[in-house]
Amino acid sequence: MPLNDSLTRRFRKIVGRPNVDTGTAELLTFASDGLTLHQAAPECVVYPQSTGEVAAIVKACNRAGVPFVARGAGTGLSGGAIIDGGVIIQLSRMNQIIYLSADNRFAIVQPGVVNSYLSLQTRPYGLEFAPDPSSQAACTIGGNVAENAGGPHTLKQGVTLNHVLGQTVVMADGQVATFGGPYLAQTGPSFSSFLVGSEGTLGITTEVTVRLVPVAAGITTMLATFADPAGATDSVTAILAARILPSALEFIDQLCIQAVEAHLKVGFPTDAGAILLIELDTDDERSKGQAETIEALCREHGAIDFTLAQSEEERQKLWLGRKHVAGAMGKISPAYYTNDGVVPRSRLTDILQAVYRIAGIHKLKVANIAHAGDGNIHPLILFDPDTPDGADRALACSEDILAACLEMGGSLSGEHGIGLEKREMMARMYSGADLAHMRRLRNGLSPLGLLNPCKLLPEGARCGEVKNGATLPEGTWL
Amino acid sequence: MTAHLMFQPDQARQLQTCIHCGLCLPSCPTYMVTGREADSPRGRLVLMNSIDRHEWSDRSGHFVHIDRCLGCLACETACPSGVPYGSLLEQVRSFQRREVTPLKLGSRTILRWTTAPVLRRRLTRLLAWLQKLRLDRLAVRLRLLPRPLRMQLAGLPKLPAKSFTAAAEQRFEPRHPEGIHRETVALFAGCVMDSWFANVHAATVRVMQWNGYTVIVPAGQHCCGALHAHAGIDTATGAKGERVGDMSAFSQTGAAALIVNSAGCGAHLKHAAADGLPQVVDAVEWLVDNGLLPPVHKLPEKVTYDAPCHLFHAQKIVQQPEALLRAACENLIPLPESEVCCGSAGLYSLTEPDLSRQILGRKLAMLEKVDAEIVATANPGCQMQIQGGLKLDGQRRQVRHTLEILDAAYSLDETYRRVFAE
Ligand SMILES: Cc1cc2nc3c(=O)[nH]c(=O)nc-3n(C[C@H](O)[C@H](O)[C@H](O)COP(=O)(O)OP(=O)(O)OC[C@H]3O[C@@H](n4cnc5c(N)ncnc54)[C@H](O)[C@@H]3O)c2cc1C
Ligand code: SF4
Ligand code: SF4
Repeated sequence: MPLNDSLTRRFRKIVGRPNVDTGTAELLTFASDGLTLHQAAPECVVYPQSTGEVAAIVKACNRAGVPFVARGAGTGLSGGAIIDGGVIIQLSRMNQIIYLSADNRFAIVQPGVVNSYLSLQTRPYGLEFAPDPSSQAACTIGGNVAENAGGPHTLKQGVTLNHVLGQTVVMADGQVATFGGPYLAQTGPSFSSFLVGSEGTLGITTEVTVRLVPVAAGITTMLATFADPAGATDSVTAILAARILPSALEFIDQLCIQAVEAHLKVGFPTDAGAILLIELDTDDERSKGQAETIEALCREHGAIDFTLAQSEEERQKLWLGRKHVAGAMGKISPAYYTNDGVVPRSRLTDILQAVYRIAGIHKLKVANIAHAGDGNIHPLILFDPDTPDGADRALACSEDILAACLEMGGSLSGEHGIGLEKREMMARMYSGADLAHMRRLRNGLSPLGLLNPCKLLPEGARCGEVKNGATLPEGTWL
Repeated sequence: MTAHLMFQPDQARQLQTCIHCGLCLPSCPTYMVTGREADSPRGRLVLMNSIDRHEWSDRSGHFVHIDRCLGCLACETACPSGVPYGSLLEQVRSFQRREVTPLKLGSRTILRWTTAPVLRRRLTRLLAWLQKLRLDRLAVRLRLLPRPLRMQLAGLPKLPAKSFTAAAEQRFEPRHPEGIHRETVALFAGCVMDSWFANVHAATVRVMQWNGYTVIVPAGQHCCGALHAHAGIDTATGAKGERVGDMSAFSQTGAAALIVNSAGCGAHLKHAAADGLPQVVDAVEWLVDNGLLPPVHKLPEKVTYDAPCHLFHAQKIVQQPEALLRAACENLIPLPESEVCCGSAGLYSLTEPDLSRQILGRKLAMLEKVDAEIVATANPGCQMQIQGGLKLDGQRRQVRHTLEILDAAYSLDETYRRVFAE
């Protein structure tokens, strides 16, 4: 069903002709986000530049009964920012830092501001935005808010939720609401928090007030090398049990190391079974003691090597390697699927063994990274999209891993969100009553069901499948 | 398996190394300006794949976004997956020129008048004459011409009376202050560089001599064909009799290196140079990697450096220009977004004037923030684009080649001045 002409005409009036795309080529490029398994093109893309324009667009969609979704950088890994037909409200041009208060440690930003750009601009004031997803060079604050993004340093600093003070939101009906404000102490229930992690299903964030934290004065970065991955995960449990809270605690296995080293040469040991990247946000006497304890614990659990980064350059290199793991998969496999399960961190060793076993059953290769301190695993399941059941097998494998996480008392997603492919599994994690209340909230805020439909909550038959290639010629991508 | 329209199987595989992560988006100058996925590297790769795998009845919508690509290769630097974007782009462009839309007449004309020797000589004479009568300034001020052309005119250096190369091979002996003799190198003179930037070549030769190298400048040199390759035209069939890409002048030199001082030519030649030629090395890369003779006095002026894309992204020459400038200047001021394209990109400022202007605008805004009198760069296109932009913008700053700055720093030393005054 082609989008009705009067709606596109309306859009052109709101944002100007060049800011509305309806051409085949332009729409094609919006057919997937960071997850290429799902492909569905919109019928129209609109580029607003202000809250007012977003509100007007949303109202027009409501009047026409056409579904719509917000999109930041499209780095999401759960198919959140795509829509099968309907309208994408692309926020890349709303990328201004509106206000920065260094004294009060907050900034008001538009949703399209790129995560690392924000910190780049605030660092001269000794401040930064703490959530640091590996995609931080590209993903937007709006996307971070919607997915409640985390990163290596959220172990100590907390996830996006802990860094959002307030939001201006265009609600599903086009009304503009402001929740929260620049200060931590606030009156009444925190509606802003409700919206964080709602994956763009409750409203479109058009301004975010973010908390800024002081840049760490000193940093101690350690690299522990293990022959056996289990030694690494056991060390994680031991370090946290010793009441040390590192600012980051990352697990990287052999296949990941080899993929990164093949491309970047950051100095990861290629023959290691696994490594831990451990960071303390201090470099004083106390952290020296902590580093010694950490080393002792790692060696006790089988570390064959333990080194401290000697310079800022070396440290940057190690982190560059960590942040490029997922990207480097392209070097060793034509496609991969990122699992995002969570387990209690005392079960890390168990889940890792389960992951390798499950992948073996599905005859698939899997490369493992994990925000180990958070118990958030990211098995990267490699597959060949050109074999007929390649993607299905990868998804089946991932589902089994998630089932194992749930069995161990964990959850379906640490930070990438439920989006499309995991929504039916929500029923395994939440009771019928839990889900019913979530649905009531959503229906209450989005009665017409037009805002980012078919995501997050299990919908059964109501939503139709967004299939690979449903609206695209065969083989368009993948 | 779908058939491929455009790519070889190994290229199709390279295309598949794009995992759609989007990490390249913020580094792409066209995405910065339009915010459109189709104007991003990831979007363009989707479009390339779509063109390759489908018989679209109308591909023009796809090619609009391919045309808008600067070829600056910032996306290659950003990509964690090592997607060889540049070589895929060249393949797409040459397919486009063969099968879809030939290069526009205007672009073809400009290419010929700048790269074919006889025509270039005529054009140079015409422009020099305009400059002498100051008609170029008049044209710029009176807005007689469309803005892109006015900008080119404004950005044109003062044209030298004759080109740098001569009818016979020239040889320059080493003039190291301590009499040290090092390798013999050959200088690639190029087309536009040879005619319009002869002073940059002269400076290059002097600093090479001062560092102890013997420099030969062979006669019978031709345009390297970088502009043609970026525009997607096959030089072998495209420009008859012009001998574009003919590098035979260098095959018998026995030089240790083929020195190139224009970033665009260097990037192209490193890829495309035939066997039997000396190893292609950028001039700054060569000087710094082999140990630069530090100038005795440093230039007092405030200098900032704008990295040419084809040096930074294509050749990954990142540290050396800065090291050289730090040795030559007292005040080297970092330029934010130095590695972001200025919008020159070969013929781009003429074929995509609007986007080019917006991209340049961002560069000028960054320059405005920086308190520098001289902007260093190392590519004729960038030099003219930025200089033209600065002039039209009313910013009084000079754009200079990195080696001109080194030459100027050496010249503060009396011995250097005397040696080369001879
Ligand atoms: C290589 C790679 C590494 C990654 N690493 C991490 C990681 O370490 N940690 C992590 O948490 N995530 C990670 N991700 C996932 C992803 O980057 C995050 O989910 C990010 O927050 C998405 O931001 P975005 O701007 O790309 O959002 P998009 O992908 O554009 O959108 C994601 C969802 O947010 C919604 N949305 C976007 N903007 C708004 C808005 N203004 N208002 C309302 N809804 C909105 C969209 O509708 C969609 O449902 C990674 C992704 C990649 C490709
Ligand atoms: S070459 Fe430059 S303009 Fe083209 S896609 Fe890459 S970054 Fe963008
Ligand atoms: S960074 Fe590389 S792999 Fe990622 S989308 Fe861009 S080109 Fe593709």
